[in-house]
Formats: sequence, structure tokens, C-alpha cells
Amino acid sequence: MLFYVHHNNQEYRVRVESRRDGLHIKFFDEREQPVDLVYYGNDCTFIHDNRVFHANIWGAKTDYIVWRPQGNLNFAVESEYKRLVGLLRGQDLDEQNNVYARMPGKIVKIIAKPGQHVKKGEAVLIMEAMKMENEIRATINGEILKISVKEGEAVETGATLAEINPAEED
Amino acid sequence: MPAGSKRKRILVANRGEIALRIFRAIRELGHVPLAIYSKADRLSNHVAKAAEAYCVGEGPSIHSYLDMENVLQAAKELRADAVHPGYGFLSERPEFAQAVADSKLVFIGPSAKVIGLMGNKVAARQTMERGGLPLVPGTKEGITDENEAQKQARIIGFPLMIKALAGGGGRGMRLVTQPDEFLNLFRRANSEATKAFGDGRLYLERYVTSPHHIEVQVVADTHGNVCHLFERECSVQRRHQKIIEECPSPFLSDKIRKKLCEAAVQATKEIGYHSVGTIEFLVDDQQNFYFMEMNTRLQVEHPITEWTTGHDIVKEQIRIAFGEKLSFSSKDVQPKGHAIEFRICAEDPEKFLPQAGKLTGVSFPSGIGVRVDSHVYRGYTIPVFYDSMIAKISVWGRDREEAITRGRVALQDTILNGVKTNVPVHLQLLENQRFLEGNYTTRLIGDDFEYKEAPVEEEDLRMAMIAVAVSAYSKEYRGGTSAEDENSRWKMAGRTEALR
Repeated sequence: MLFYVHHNNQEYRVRVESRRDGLHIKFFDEREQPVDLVYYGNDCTFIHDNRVFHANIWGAKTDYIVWRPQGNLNFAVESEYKRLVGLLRGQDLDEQNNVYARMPGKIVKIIAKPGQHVKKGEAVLIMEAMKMENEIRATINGEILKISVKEGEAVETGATLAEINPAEED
Repeated sequence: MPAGSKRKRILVANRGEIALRIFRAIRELGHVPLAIYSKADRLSNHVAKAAEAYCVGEGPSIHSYLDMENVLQAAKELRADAVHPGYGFLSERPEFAQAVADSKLVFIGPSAKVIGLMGNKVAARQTMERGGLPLVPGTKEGITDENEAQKQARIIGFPLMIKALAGGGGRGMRLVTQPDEFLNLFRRANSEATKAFGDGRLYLERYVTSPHHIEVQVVADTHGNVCHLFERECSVQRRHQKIIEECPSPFLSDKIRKKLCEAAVQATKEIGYHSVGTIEFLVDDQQNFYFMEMNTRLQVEHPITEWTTGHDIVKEQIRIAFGEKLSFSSKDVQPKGHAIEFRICAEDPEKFLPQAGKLTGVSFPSGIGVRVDSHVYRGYTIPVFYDSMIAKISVWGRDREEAITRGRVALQDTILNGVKTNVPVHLQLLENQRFLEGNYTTRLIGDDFEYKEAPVEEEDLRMAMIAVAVSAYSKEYRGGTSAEDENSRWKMAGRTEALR
């Protein structure tokens, strides 16, 4: 399972997998490694290259605080799955003009055409991620300026999918 | 009080860590600890550690801990023999001390008369000056005449402050650093004060440029025995509140220390004080000391004095209140080593703004020379109504260097998760050059120290992220076995309570 960990406006990717011999971690594109990490209550210790890392961690929903005597660290964590569910429910992105990919995937079908006027929440294209098809919707009312991807194309997180010119407010 | 009974029932009219501290002394003396609590404090540890407890009202202090009638009612309901006021709340209200005495109960503190006297700043200064304590040099009465003012200014010396007698809010106030500026600034202050208060009278006071806040702990019984327990350096302050105290003061010379402590004892005798108390002094960079005020109660930072002298100040205070003689004399007070106290507050380290909320992770340091006074535990919710101080961590070392090192380790071992605290501020202060040199003044925070969020090492950040991801993983796949905001039994108890 892939997790998107946000800290100081940066996104990090951490993959956690349960294997026969225990938990494995893959940080970004590094090699997957078994990890010696145990939780007891809110505390956890983590031994890596014989080095011990001890932390007290508290999480509510997606927000996590890791205690550190020099000052706490704040993280927002979202699993690939949660992100997908969010997308499927149409909880699309922020209030911004462009439509972009929130996770890596493949463009299945393009619905809207350049020049077309769309309403907020209207489907722009369909993207496949984690074997699920997912309607990507317009975040604002406006005119489609450009569709930046082709059907069948693979996209990475953050890729712009379409550009919308916001409609004038009446 | 039942005749012949030695076991006294003592009500602590306070909350939090100080209530717990006093309970321990009460129990060590074989007496019975009684608590009061507000509805917001039902889950506070001080309630758990009392033999009996009485609810004095709603969360806001004004409706509970500050409500004299309710507190006196608690004393009556719990059949208390004596009342200990702690610090803050009603501890320095003469009318409270009087009401306790009028209810034929023992007030564990000085007389209402002395509390009243020391509570009035002007009267306190006059009394203490008669008692032999120096005041910041200045004029005693208001002046309007320019020639007279110039004459006085020359006597006081520069820099000096011009202040309006009727003043407040900085109006009619001027700092004069050079003699030739004086007349001009005096005229402006006079005109400003006349316009603002309809009273142009001004007074002059020497401006202490590098002030140290140093206080002397005194103990006096009702038999005329007075003793000091040496001084505490309290110059590390933010928003005029102390956050680190240490003893002995690294700044005072032995000669001045002796003079200061003896002057405090003398003044304590002069005013006929009994109980424990603290005389606060302003000390300038030449080690001249001036009386500021007297705190007629137990002080927050008393643990560091207990560390260096080995005497239990609270036990002594209780014994004195019941008419016993001091258990030691001056020659029994031989301070040893160095002690530092860190006040741990739930507050934003940068803006010093108090934080309320739930403590989701709590672990305190331990080991040789480490003491923790606290009422919080994991799952405890810090109420919005009271002080932001959630713990006092104090350390003792054979010398200042050892105490500082021990303090650093103790702070690193402290876990307080869920709310922001000033632990990082303390750790950074322990790296500050001025602090380490020991010649810091009350302007340390602001002038010579500014908290900056410490950068995170790449490796630490990476480990933290992996730990967070694993926690999220177990939440999603194993139904949340770790790092969960658990639904505690306390909360369930609260719900049961609400159903009654």
C-alpha cells in the first residue's frame, strides 16, 4: 500500500507492504527493505542499521504529530486507496482552474472537448488508477481551453490533465 | 478540630501540580488531604490523590477557585481544620485569609494584615524601606517645579525614568539617558500628563538598565525565628513571567548574596511575618539591589530551593501554621550544588500563545537529580480556563554545568504530544551563550535570545515518515491498533456521569 506523506508542502511517497517475514518499506523509488518497527501504544521504536529511532506518534484521520524534543513534526498522510476513493466521490482537488492527476494512472477516455463549456462537477475525462475507473471532474465553471493528455496515456501525480478558463461571474 | 486529635484535615484551595505537591506534604505529616475542584477539573490528578473532594463550581475560575464563598463552603462540608491556598487564586487575598480565620480554621500562610500590607505596592515599599531594604532611588512625591526636578535628577543620576504620579499606559513617561535632555523631556512629560490625567505631577526613578530578578526565600515561625533559604535567580522571563529559575544565582558575588539574604531576614522580622514567603529584588549590573515586592505565599519555583537546601518548604509551612517552631535554624541551612527549574507550558513556542487540548502522549524524565511536579497524564485534556503550565521539571547537579547537562537530557526525555509546548524553547535556551555564561538579565528573551524552529535532519524526517506510514497502514488494514485516538475509559465515565 502506497502512502502520500505531506510535510512542509512537500509530498513524499512511502510504500508499506506486509510480507511473509514482516513489514517491508519502500521509500520513494528506493529498494524495498524489511523494517524492524514496533508500536506499543502511541510509542514506536524503529531500528535501522542498528540505529534506534524512538517516537511518540499521534494521528487523527489524516493528520499526524510526531513528538520530538526539539519541536513536533506535523504530517498529513493519505493512502493511495483513500485518495482514489476521494476521487471517485468527485471530491476533486482544490478550487483551481486546472484539472490535474492526484495519483499515477492511465487516461481511459476523454469526455469534454476544447472550447466546450463545463459546469463544476461535470466529467472531463476518465482515468484508471489501481484498476478502478475514475471520473475526473471540472473544479470550476468555465470553458475547456485545452485537454493536455491523450487516451491511453500514462500520467504521473501532479500532471495537468486539462486547462479551464473560468467563466465570468454574473 | 476534635480535641486531642493530631491528624488534621487540610483543604488545599487550589488545583493542578501545586495541589498535588501540597498533598504530599500533608500526607507525609500524617494529615488528611482534602481537595476542591471545578467541573472542568473532575479528571485532574489532584482529585484522584485527595482523600475527599468537593466541587466548587463551573470551569471558569471566577465561578470556582476564585469564589470565596464556595471555597469556604467546601471547607465546611469537608470538615477541614485548615486551608492551604497554594499560589495564585485566593492565596494573596487578605479577605480570604481573614474569612478562613473568622471561620475558626487555620490559614496556612501569613496573617491577613501582612498579606494586605504587602499587596499594596506603595505601602509595601514604604514599609520595607523602614525595614531597611533599599528601593530603586527616586523621588517620593510628585514634582512640577523644573528647578526642583533638575536638582533631584542630579541626585538620582542617569539614566532615569520620568513617570506620571497619576500615570498609566505609558503616558507621561520618559526615559532620560543624558542630563542635557532632561529639562526638555520633563516639560513634555508634564504637558502630556496634564492633558491625559489632569494632573501634571511627575516623579523620577533611576532606570535599571540590566536588571536581574533575584528573590530570597524566607521562613518564619510564630515564635520569632526567622531564617532564609538563600536566593533564586529568576531572570529568564517571557511576557514578564518566569520560565527558568536557578539557584544559586550565577551572577551574584558571595558578598552581595550574604548582604541580600540578611537584608531579607531583617525585613521579614520588621514586618512581623510568619509562614514562608519570598522577597523579590531588582539587581542591577553593579550588584546593587532594590526591593520590588514580597510574595506572601508559596512560590511556584520553591523546588529548586528544596533541591539545594534539602528542606521541605511546604511541610515547614504547614507546621508553622499549627504553631510549631521552625525545624531548623540558619546554621542548618548549608546549600549544596546547583538546581534549575524549567516551567513546561502548553504554548506555541514562537508566539508564546497558550494551547488547550488533549495530551495524547505523556512521558516524564527520571533518574538521579531529576524531579517532576505535574498533574497531567496521557489522555488528559488541558482545560481552557487555567494557567498553561502543565509541569515543572527541576534538576540538581553538583555544579551549574552538571545541572545544565542534566536538564538538557531530562528535557530530551520528556514526551508531551498532542499540544504544542515550550520544551523546544528550553532546549534552545540551554544552548544560549548568555545563559551558559550566567550573566543574563530579564531582557535575555527578546534581546539575546529568539526561538527558531530547529531544522530537521534528513534521517530523522525519513524515519518519522516511515513510522507515520506504518501507523496509517495498521489503521487501514488492522482496524487501528496503533497511534489511535483511543476512546478512553475516562470519557466513558464522563458520559455515564452525564446520564445521571
